[in-house]
Amino acid sequence: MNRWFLSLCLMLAALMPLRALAAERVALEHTTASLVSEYSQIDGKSPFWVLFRLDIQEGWHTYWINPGDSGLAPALEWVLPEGVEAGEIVWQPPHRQAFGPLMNYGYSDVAYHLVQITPPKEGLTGALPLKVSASWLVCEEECIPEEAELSLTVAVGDGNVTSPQAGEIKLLVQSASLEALPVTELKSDDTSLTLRLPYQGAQPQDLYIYPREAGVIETVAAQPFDLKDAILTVRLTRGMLEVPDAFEGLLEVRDANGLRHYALTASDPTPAIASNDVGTGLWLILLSAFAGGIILNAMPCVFPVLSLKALAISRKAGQDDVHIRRDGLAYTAGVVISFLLIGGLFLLIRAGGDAVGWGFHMQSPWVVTALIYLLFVIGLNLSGFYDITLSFGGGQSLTQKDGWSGSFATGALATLVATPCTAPFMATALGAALTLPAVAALGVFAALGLGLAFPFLLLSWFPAVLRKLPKPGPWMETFRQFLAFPMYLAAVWLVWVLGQQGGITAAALVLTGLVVLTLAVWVWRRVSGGKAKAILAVFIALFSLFPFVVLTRGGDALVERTDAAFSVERIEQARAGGEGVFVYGTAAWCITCKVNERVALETAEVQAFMAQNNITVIRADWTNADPAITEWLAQFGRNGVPLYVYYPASGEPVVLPQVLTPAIVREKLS
Amino acid sequence: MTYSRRLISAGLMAAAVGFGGHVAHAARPGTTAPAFSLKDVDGKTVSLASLKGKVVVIDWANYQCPFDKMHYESGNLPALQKKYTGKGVVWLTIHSSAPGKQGYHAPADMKKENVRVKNAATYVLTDYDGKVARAYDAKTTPQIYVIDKAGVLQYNGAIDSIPSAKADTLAKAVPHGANAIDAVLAGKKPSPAATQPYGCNIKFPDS
Repeated sequence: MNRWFLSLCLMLAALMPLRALAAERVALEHTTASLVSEYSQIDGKSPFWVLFRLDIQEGWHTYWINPGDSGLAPALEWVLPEGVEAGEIVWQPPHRQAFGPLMNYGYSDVAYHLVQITPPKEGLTGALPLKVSASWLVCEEECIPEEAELSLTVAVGDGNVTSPQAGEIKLLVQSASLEALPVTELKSDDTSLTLRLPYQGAQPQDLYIYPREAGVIETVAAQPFDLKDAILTVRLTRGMLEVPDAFEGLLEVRDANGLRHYALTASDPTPAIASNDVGTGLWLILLSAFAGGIILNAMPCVFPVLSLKALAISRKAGQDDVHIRRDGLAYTAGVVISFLLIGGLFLLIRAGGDAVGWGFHMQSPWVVTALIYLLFVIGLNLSGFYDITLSFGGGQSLTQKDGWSGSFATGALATLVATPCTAPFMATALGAALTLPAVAALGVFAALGLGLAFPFLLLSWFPAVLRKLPKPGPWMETFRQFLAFPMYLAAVWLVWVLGQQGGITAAALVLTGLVVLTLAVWVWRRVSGGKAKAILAVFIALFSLFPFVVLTRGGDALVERTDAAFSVERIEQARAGGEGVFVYGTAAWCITCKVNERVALETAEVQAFMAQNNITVIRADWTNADPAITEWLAQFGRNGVPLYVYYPASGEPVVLPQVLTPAIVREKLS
Repeated sequence: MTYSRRLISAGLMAAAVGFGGHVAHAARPGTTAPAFSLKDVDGKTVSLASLKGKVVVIDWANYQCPFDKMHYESGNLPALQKKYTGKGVVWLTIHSSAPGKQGYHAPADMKKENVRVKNAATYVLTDYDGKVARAYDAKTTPQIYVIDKAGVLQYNGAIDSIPSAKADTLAKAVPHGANAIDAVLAGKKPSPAATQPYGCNIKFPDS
């Protein structure tokens, strides 16, 4: 044997691992790299997962996307047929590896890198060759760069055929799909960085935050934390680099249930309006808020109140145009100021880090109860059961003097009862308001208010129109009494809402309260005798307030949770199982939602359609505050219900319109 | 009296050790560069104080680390060293690999290594106990520091913008280190003044 030849062979053999031939599996000095697909045959249309796997020599490790203080994340360069796209690496939660004063984030034993491959729209035929040039750094204490070219050919045929690795890949997709927690507050000074986020889990024994960007924190510094009122506060020690505007990363928590991971996302997942084009974007939002406000006038909960007002004003038509205009202005001011007040409260709570949404005040049984009383008392007034001047009653004794305050109060009342009816335009506008600076957000609320007041303002400004209305006469008393009925119905609806929140007991309590209240009014009217009568009536009226004492906030446990209750894991699980998922955001107090459920979602037609197509239906019930749902709404730039989203088994979620018909549902879900 | 004074100083020392365990942001741009005094491969002591009035550049190095290997053996770092020492910069290469660790060479061997990799720094210094690396919060090799004539740290970070051990990325990368030196020579503040360094861990002694 020629010695030269032998040594040449040896040299070639030594070079082989470095210049690895393209294969599905390549063994190198410290790692073995492999490329596998979820499917051995694909349908050529739908996206699918491939896995780039590194089996690592004992004692060695590779890196996460942020490698920590040193090291380097693996890089993949794909060579794919035209039109085929490879996504970014989807990472598994990393481990920490400490070396003296330094720390790395990475993996030992085995590192999994999931990549989603998307075929072109027009589809593929034949076979799909996948080729990737991968390079990575593998370190013990010393580091060795390794690289390999891997290739894999997947057949294209009639439907997907799972490969032997499909089960493993499915599990990896699940373990990489983490529940997202929005970082609602990010404060930094010279040395520290404090994060606050809503957190529903148990008290952590230990936690660690991995920032997605390197250099932002001191990796080895302790991360003291505090969990209070479901808000988790974590203090990090700042690193050398500037804190990014949006903090992203991974939260690792150890609690009584073991180790869990969450994805930390920026609090504003919808960069709806970049600050430099606030100008144009803002006008559009203000305009849609205004339009939404106008639509509110037709809402079942607002209409009776407004009819009353129109009634009162038409009474004066032709007498005193100046006063009518003044009334219109006072009413507008009442609406706008109430909207601004609610908006201000909303911003305050937002600043406090709580996730809130429009209609949030309806989540308190106290507010609902107060509204029931109010609607009922107005109803009694309209029915003619009593004749005290309720400023918003707008009845007989509306003098010029109390016209101002009366109109103002009507505006405030209209605002209060209008809010649960989140009309389609409002959802978008309010979703945007969440992400806007405070002044602009208040502008949105003001525009909504203006919209609500607008038709009435118009009417008062052109009394000529008013004069076209029927002449005042005895018919008005009939009409007034008739309007009591929508009021009672609105009260019944609210009792039902309360029943959803607090159960049958709460509803019974409030109904009893209404009877006692009626008794108080009756005493007022029937029993003679000045002061004593008044004191007795007030005393009885006070009794009617007992539900407020008994009904504490919450009663969450009483809300019926069906087996399709909302959770992010549920959505992911079903999707990972290859099923489409339809999620509907609803609330007992949301009329639009209930209408959609009756006319579309709960019809036999739609239910059968869902069953046939194996679509999992998940209900996100927002009747009571639920941060997970608030967060989900925010993902779609929304801030109120209804919201209808269809998640196909793979691909982007589809948002459905806010007014549904069976046909729309079928069209969007297929 | 003496006893209590001793007690106080012991307490202070304990506190200093406690904090010294991790000196965060000791080397943020805009702060005074920590003083040091180290021996070069010829046994000559070089102190930062003695270099006042000159722009000082430090590259932390470990010739066995693949990232340093790339930057030295591709000629990238020697070329930078040549270029900037020619402009009056004092270039210090500091080795902090502890005895027994990757990249450690006794001074005599280190001299040979310097020739092999064509190091063109003004001084090649050894920091075998890693104290100066800790004072500078140095994490990786390579890692670049630029100190202005007044002794203020102006740049701390990566040599360039693409973390890689492959020479083919050099042409595409933004040379953060060289840009920072140019800025400081022109009397300006570098931008960026801090970047995330990439490379191998500094091989500190086992504690």
